[in-house]
Amino acid sequence: MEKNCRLKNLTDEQLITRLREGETEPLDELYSRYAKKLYLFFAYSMQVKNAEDLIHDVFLKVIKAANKFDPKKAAFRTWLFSIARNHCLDFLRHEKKIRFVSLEDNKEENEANSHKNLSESLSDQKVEVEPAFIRMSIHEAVNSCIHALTNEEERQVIVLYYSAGKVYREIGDILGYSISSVKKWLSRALEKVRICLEQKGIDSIN
Amino acid sequence: MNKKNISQILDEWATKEMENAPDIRPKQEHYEQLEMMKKKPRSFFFSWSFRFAVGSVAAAVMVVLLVFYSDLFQRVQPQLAEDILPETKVVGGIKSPEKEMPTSPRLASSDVEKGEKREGKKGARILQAPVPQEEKKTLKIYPFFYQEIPPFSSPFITEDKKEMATVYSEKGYSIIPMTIGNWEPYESYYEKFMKGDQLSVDDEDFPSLAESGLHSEEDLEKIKTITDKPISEITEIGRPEQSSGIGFMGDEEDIISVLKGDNKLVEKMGLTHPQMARPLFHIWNILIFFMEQEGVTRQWKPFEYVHYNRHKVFIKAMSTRGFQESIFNDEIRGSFQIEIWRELDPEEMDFLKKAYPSLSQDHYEEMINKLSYMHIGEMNPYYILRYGFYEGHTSYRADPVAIALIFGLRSIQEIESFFMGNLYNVLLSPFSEESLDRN
Repeated sequence: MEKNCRLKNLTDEQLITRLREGETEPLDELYSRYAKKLYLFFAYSMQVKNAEDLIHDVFLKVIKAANKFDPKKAAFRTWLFSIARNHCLDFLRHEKKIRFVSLEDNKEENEANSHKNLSESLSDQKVEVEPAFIRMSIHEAVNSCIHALTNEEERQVIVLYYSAGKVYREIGDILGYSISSVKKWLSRALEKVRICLEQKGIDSIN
Repeated sequence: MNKKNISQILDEWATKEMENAPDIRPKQEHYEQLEMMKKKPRSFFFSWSFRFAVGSVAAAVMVVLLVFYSDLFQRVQPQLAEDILPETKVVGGIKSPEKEMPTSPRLASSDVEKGEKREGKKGARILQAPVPQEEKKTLKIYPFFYQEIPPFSSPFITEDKKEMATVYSEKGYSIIPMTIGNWEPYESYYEKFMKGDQLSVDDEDFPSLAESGLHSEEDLEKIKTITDKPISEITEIGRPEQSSGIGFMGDEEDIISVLKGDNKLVEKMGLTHPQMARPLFHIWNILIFFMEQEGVTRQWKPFEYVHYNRHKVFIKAMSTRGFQESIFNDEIRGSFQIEIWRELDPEEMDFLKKAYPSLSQDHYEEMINKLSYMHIGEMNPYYILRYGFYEGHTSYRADPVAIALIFGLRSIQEIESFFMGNLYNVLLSPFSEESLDRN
C-alpha cells in the first residue's frame, strides 16, 4: 500500500526509469494513469473497436523500447501517444480498415444508438427522470458529434485535448502538427461539435 | 438547465467516458517481458566487462587493419556524372542533359545490391540503375571533409553502383552515399526512418508507366481504381480539409486530371516520371543518411547544399513527428517537410526577364518562386515513381518543371522552348478537366 502511494507521487519519467530496471509496479501505475486515456483515444480519435488489444500492444512496445525513451526529446505522455498513434495506423493499414465515414451515415447510426442507450438506461436505473435524461442526452449527443467529425485531424486533436492533457505543444508533437495547426483544428472541431449539439437541441454558451 | 460552455461539456464528457472505460490491467506477457529485461544484464555475455573486453579486442584489430590496409577503406572508384547520366550539351551557356535518356528503366533483381537491398514486392516492376563504366579515382567519404570542392562530378556512381553526391556544410565538402534501391520497408517512427521501395512502379494499375516511364492516355482514360481504391474516393480524400488540411490536390482538381496534366508536362519536356523521381529520392536518401549519422531535430538543416548537375541545390527539412497517411492503399507515409531550392543565376534571370517582358512584377516573382523553390514531403518521390503523381496545385506540389530546372535536367532555355511564353500558367494553373481540354 505504502509502495503504491510512493509510486503515485513519482513522475512518468521516474516510473519509466524504474521500468527499465525490470520493476513491475511502475507498469501497473502507468496502466492506471494512461490505459483509459488511450482507450478514449483509440475508440474516438482512431475509431477502432478492439481498443483493449491495442492498448496491451502499446504497453508491450513501451516496455521493449523503454531504453530508447529520452525525456530530453519528449515527455513520456507524448512518446506514449505517438507510439499509440503509429501502432494504430499500422494496425488499420494492415487490416485495411481505414474508413472515411460520411456525416450523414454516421448521424443516423449514432442517433439510433443514442436513443437505444437512453431508453435502456432510463428503464434499468429508475433514477430521477429529468436530471438523468439531461445528463445522458448530453453525453450521448457529444459521443455522436465527435464520431460525426469526418476530418481526422479535428477528431484526433479534440479527443487528445480533452483526454490526454490540454497542452498544444504535446498534441502537436504527437500528431506532427505545429501549435498553430493544433489550435486551428481544435477551434474548428469545437465549432462543429457546438453546432452539432445545437442541432440536437443542446445549447451551450461559447 | 444552466448553460455550460462547450469546453465544460467536453470536459465532463471525457471524464465520464474514462469512468465508463473498462479497467485494463497489464497481462502476464508484460510481466514476462519485464522479467526478461531483469535477467538479461545478469548474463556474462551482456555484462559491461564482457562488452568492454570484446570492444577492446575489436578496436585493436581495427587499428591493425587500418594501419596496413588503409587504402581499402578509402578507395572506391567513382565515375564522372557525365559518364553515367545522359550526355550533356551546351545550351545558352548552361549545360543540360540530352533529351534521349533511357526510358525503360528496369533492373534485373540480380543487379540489386546483395545483403542491403531486397527485391520489390510481387507484381511490381524493378527499375534499372545506370550502368557504370571504367574510371578509377580515389575519394574519401563522410565523415571526411574536403576544404575545396572534391574533383568529382556530383552526382556520380562508383564502380560498385553506389550513388554519391558532394554536400557542403560549414565543416567543408563531404561525399555522401544516396543510392536508390528497394530497401527495407518503413517501420514505426520511433524505430528508424526507412527508405522502402524506391524502384517499384505500380504496374498493375499503370502498365504503360512501368513500360515507358510515362502514362498512356488509354491507361488514364479507362482506370477506375488505383491500388484497389476507387478514383472517386482518392479524389475525395485528396482534396483540402480531408485526409490532410492542405490536401493532395486543389479543390477544382481530381486525381485523373492531375495525373493527366503532369504526364503531359513531363512528356513535353522529353523526360519520364522515374527520371523526375530520381533527384528527389537522392535528396531523401541524403537526409536519411544524416539522420542515421547525427540524429534529427525538429527544425533541421544538416548541411547547406548539394552539388547536383553543376547547381547548388539548397535543402532544409522539418521533422513533424506524426505521419501523414497516403491517399492510396500503400505503405507510403510522410513525416517531413522538405524545402528545396536554388538561386537562379544572372543569365537565367536575364533570359526570363526578356522572355516575359509584359508579366507584372508580382506575377514575375511568383513565376520565379514556383520555378526555383519546392516545398514537398518525402512521399512525393514515391508517388511520382509509382503513380506519376506530383500532387496537384497545393503548397506540397513537386512541380515537374521546377524539378527539371532545379536539378539541372533541363535548362531554362529548353523549358521556355517547350512552353513558349506560357510558363506562368503552366506553373500556376490547376489541372481541371476544362484546362486540360484547352491545352
